[in-house]
Amino acid sequence: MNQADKIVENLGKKKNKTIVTNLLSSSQCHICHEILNIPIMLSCGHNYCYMCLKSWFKTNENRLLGCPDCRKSVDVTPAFNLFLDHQLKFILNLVKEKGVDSKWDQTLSEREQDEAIYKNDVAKDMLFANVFKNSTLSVVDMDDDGIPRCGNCHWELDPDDMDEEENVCPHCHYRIRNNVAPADSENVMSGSVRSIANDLRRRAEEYSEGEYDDIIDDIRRYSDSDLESGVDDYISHEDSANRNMSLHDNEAIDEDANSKSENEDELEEEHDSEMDSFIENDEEDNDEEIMDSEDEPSSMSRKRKYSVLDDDEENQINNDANSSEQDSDFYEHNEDEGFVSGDSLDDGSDNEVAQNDQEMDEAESENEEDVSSRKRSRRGQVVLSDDE
Amino acid sequence: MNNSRLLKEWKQLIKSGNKYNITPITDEDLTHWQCILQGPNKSLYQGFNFTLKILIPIDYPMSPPQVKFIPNTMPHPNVDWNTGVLCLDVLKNMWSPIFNLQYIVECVIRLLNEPNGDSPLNLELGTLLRLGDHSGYNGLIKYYLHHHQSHHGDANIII
Repeated sequence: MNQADKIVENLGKKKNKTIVTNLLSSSQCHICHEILNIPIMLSCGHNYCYMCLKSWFKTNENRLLGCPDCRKSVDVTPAFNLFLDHQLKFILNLVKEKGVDSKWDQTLSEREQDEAIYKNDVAKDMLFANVFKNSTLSVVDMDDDGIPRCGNCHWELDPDDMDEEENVCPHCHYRIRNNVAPADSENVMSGSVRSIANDLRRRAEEYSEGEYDDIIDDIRRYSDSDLESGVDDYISHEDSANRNMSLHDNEAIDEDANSKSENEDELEEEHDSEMDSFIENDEEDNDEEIMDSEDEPSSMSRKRKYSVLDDDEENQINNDANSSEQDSDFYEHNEDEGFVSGDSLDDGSDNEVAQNDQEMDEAESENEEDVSSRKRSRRGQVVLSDDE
Repeated sequence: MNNSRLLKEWKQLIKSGNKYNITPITDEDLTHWQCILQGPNKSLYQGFNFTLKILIPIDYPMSPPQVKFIPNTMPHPNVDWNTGVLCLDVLKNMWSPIFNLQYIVECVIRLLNEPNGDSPLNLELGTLLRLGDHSGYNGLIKYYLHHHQSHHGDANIII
């Protein structure tokens, strides 16, 4: 006797009846209030009849599809819940054997009709009236300026061009199922920083323009970050960065990657990279290798130096990663003031980031540095695994 | 599905006591309903009764029902005084097929308790509410209620 049989025996007839009653009443579809027919489960775990869900999706075709119960967005095609279907069929058959009235027969025949429709839809590969076919969600990559892109072909989507009724990707003509909106740059800020920033913005008129931006920058840089650990990080980072410059060997990258990946806190990283650039500022005078930085006039704004140095670091790490292309790549970027046109995408995102750094106004450049430093740490990790 | 679900809702309402008096206007046709709404306690509407008209669309529950007050009876920032139309998100873009008639009426009651000054259909009341003129707001609603009550007799005082 297995465990299930034992449980049933111990419960007795009356309990078994309540179990069946509860099972049936809890297996109601919340849309049609009938016992689930062809149960389909959404990613949030809620189940509905296939026919109910189909008509719900169909009436909402041009809006973001959501779970009727919890509103969680339906990103992937919902799946048939085979297990629940088997259980319900088993119970309904039990009822059928006991003999039932004509009304029950009618319900059962209706269920069979719906099932035939479902099977037909499966056979013709047109589940949910093709709501999920040739359609995708717009995606926003925070590391990429928060520009909304088509989830299928990654074509840039312009929220202003989008039609309220039917969003279509201009490149691959996929239907976009959700709202196309660029990410708010404030989303990048952590909660506490945002609250301080909002508080300051309310009193913004008390400050002159530049002063206000500086204060916001300072808050972002130093809030939450422990100054001492920041300095420690900076020392280890500086070590590895120096070796990185002179040796171009893989070990240096390893250490670089380690020291950065350990450094989870974004703000600390920011702090760290900022200190780093101060040091490199000093080294500029005698270090021949940073050609690009030397070319820059010393009267440049502080921010511009940051972004330039940032670009420099990017190049070095990039060069280390592709040591075969090292020379051509390195000098190509450094000859004409270190920048190529932002439209040339053949060299990945590095140029883009550098270019954008320059275009950003002062307040956003900090965010940008933060983002690029995260990118760097990620790239470091990728290199590490490649070496293994 | 339309009629069978409404029938189930109607049975459920009777079974649970139907505390909001939601009833179909005729027994044969379950697409026209009405509800005698009592002004919620501790609100400006306490002591007044309001009639809510509910029209069920053909594809209910996929589309929300059309809900409105009898014209010229409900002074509320989110209710158009002349037509009785409500501005309620769950009856528009936030509609979900799991909502039923009782839930809708509960939402309307909540709207009476918590007027929203940001999307007014009654501009006078909406402006007063947004500017924080509570005495003006309360006074105008009371004026509307009593004025209406003495002229039409639809909303009768039950205290």
